[in-house]
Amino acid sequence: MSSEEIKWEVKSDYIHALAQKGIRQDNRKTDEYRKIQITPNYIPHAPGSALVKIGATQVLVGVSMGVGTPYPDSQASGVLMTGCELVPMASPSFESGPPRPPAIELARVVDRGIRESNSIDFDKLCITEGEAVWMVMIDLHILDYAGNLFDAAELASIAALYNTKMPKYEDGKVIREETSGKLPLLKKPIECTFVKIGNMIMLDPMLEEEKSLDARITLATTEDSSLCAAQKGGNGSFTEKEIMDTFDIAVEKGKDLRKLI
Amino acid sequence: MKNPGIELFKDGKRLDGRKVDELRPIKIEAGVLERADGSAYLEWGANKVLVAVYGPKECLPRHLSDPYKAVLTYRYNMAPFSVDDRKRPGPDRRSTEISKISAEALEKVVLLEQFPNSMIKVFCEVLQADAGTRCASLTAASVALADAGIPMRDLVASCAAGKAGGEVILDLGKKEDNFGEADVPIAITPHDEEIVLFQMDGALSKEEFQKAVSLAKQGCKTIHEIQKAALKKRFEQVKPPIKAVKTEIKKSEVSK
Amino acid sequence: MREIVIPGEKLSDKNLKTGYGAYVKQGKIYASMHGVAIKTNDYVKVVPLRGKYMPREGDQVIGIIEGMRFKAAFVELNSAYNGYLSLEREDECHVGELIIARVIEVSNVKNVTLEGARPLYDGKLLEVQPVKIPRIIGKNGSMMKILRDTTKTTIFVGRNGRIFIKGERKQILNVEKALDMIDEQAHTHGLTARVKQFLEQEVKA
Repeated sequence: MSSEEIKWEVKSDYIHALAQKGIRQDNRKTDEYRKIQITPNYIPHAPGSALVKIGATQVLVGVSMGVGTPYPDSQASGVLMTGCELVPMASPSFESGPPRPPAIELARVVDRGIRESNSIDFDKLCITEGEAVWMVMIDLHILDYAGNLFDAAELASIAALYNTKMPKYEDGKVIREETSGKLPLLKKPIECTFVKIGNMIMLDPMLEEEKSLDARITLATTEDSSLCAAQKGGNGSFTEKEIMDTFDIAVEKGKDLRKLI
Repeated sequence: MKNPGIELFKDGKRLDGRKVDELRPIKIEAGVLERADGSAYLEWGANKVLVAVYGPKECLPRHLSDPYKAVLTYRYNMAPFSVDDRKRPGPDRRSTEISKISAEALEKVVLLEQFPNSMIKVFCEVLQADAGTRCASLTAASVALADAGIPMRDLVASCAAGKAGGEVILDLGKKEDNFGEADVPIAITPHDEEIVLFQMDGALSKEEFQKAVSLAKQGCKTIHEIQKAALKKRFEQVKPPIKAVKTEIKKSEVSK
Repeated sequence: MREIVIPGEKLSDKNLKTGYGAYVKQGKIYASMHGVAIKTNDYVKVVPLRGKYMPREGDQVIGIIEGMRFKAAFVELNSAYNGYLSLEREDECHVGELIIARVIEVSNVKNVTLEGARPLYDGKLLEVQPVKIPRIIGKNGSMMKILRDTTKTTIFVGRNGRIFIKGERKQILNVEKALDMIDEQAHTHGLTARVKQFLEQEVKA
C-alpha cells in the first residue's frame, strides 16, 4: 500500500465515527452540494467547453466536432464518443499512462447519461446517410480531484454541449473557422452521486467521504423526472428503499442544477 | 507550412497589431490547485496553461532514485480540445521531446542535491494552444515550483523569437508560427542570463539569428517581472491554507 | 527588515552570514526560496511559507506506521522521507497506527531513524504547512501553553506539520479555530495576546 492510500485508511475512521452520529465532516446536510461554479466556454477556441468546480474539485470538459462514418446499425445518426483522462496533476495518486478502470468507468457513466437521455439530437447530425455523420467527441479533463468527479464531469459535459457551435461542412471538408449554428440538443440529463458510509447516505461526497465509502450510487435524471442512467460502485450494498430515496433526491437536485446551465 | 500567400505584416504592424518587439498579454497566478503542493495558471495571448508540482516525495519506482539528488520529472501534455483538430490523448514524440528539454532546463535551477533519493514531479497541461506553448508551460512551471516551496537558484523564464514576413519578431503568434520563416524558443535564468533551453527551426542568417536571440532574451526579462509579481502577490493577499483541515479519530472513539 | 522574496532575488551585496533559503554566489547573497527574507546587520535568511517537511535530528514528529518488517516499522512522515523505527517486539505497533516519535539520526542519503515512539489515539489529527509549526508553538512554547491551558486539551505537535488534539469535541473545535487564526495572522504583532483573548471568550461562551 502506498503512503497516500494508508493515510486515507487512517482518516476514514474519523469519517465513520462522524457518520454514526449523522454528521458530515464539513457540517453539510445529507442532500447538500458543495458550492458549484460553472464557467461555460472556458476554452473559446474549442467548439464547446466548460469548467465546473464542485467545492475544490475541478473538471474541464472540451467538445470537439468531427466528421466520420456512422455505425452500421444506425446509418443516419451522429456519433458520440466520451474520453476521460485522470490527469496526474489532479491528485498524487493519479499516474500518467493509458486510462485505467476508474477513468473508463467515469467516462462511460457520463457517456451513458448523455446517450440514454437522447440529450443530443443524433438524427440531425446525419450529413449523408450511411456515409458521413457528425461525431461529437467529449473529453473529460480532471484538473483537481477533491471528490465526486461523476457529477462534476456530467455537469461540465452538459454545460459544454450547450455552448457547442457546429463548424461548417462544405464539399466534404470541415471549415472550423465558420459555424453553422448550435449543436442540436433535446435534454439536460443531470447526475447525482451519493455515498453510503455505515448507514448514512450522503450526496456529493468530498474526498475524505469518497475514500471512506462503503458504496456509491450515481443516478442520472431528466426534465420529466425519469431515470436515464445509473451506476453503483464500491463493495458495500444498498437496500431497495435507499435507492428509491436517492432517486427522489436526485430528481429534486436535478431541477436545481439544470437551472445553472 | 510556409505560405507566401499570407501577408503577415500590414502597414508595418503584425496581424494582431503588435510591434516587432512586443509580447502578447501575459497573466500568471500562483497557487490555484487544492491537491498539488504548488501550482500556477498562465494565460499568454490565447494560450491557457495549468501547472502542478508534487514533491519532493518518495521516488517511485525506486530503481529510478538517485542517492545524490532528487529526480525531476516533467510532463508536458496537450488537452485533446486544446487544438483545432482534436489531439489524441497521451504522450507523442513532440510532447516527449518538449518534456525532456524542459526538465533539463529546470534541473539547472532547482537545488536537487538537497533532496537525495526523492522525486519532484511537474505536470503541465496545455488547455488552449495558440503558439508558444512550450515557453508558456516552462514559464508557469518555474512559478509553480517556487510556489511549492522548493529551493531554486533562480526562476526560469521562457519566450520565443523568430522570423515571419521577412522580419525578426518577438513571441510568434499562431499564424506567424505556421507561415513564418523561423522559430527560436529559448529559456533563461533571468539573473545571470544563462540560456537553459534553446531550439530553432527554419532559416536565419547569422545576423537575424543574433537579433532573434537578443529579442527573446529581452522578452524573457519582461516575463520574469510578471513571474515575480505573481509570486509576490501570492503571499500578500492569500492566506496560505491550513489545507482543507484533514482529520482522524481512532476507532476507540467510535464507541463513546 | 522583512520582505517577500523569490528564488534568485539578490538579498545583499555584502558578505553576511547566511541561513536557510539563501546562497552565496561571487560574494553576493541570493534567495533560494519563495518566502519572507529576514535581515539583520550580519545575517540573512529566508523563511518559506510553504514546503515539504525535511527531517532533522532532534525533531519530534507524528507519523503513521506504513509497513512492518522483521522487528522494524516504516513510518510515513508527511515528507519525502519515511522514518525507520526498530522494535523490541513485533507486536509493539501495528500498520495504520499513529505514533509520535523523535528523529535521532538523519543520514546523508536521508535515511531517518526514529526512537521513543508512543501511540496516539482518541483524538483528532490536523495537517498544516510544516513551516507554520514554529509559530504555532510560539516563543518558548508560549502559544502552545495558551492553547492547552485555555481549552484544557492535550496537544501533540509534530515538526512535520501534524498536530494531534485530545479533549472535548467542542474544545478541539476551538483549538482548530485558533490555529486558523494563527495561520492567517502569522506575521502580525501581538498575535499571542489576541489568540489568548479569543480563546478565553470562546471557552466562556
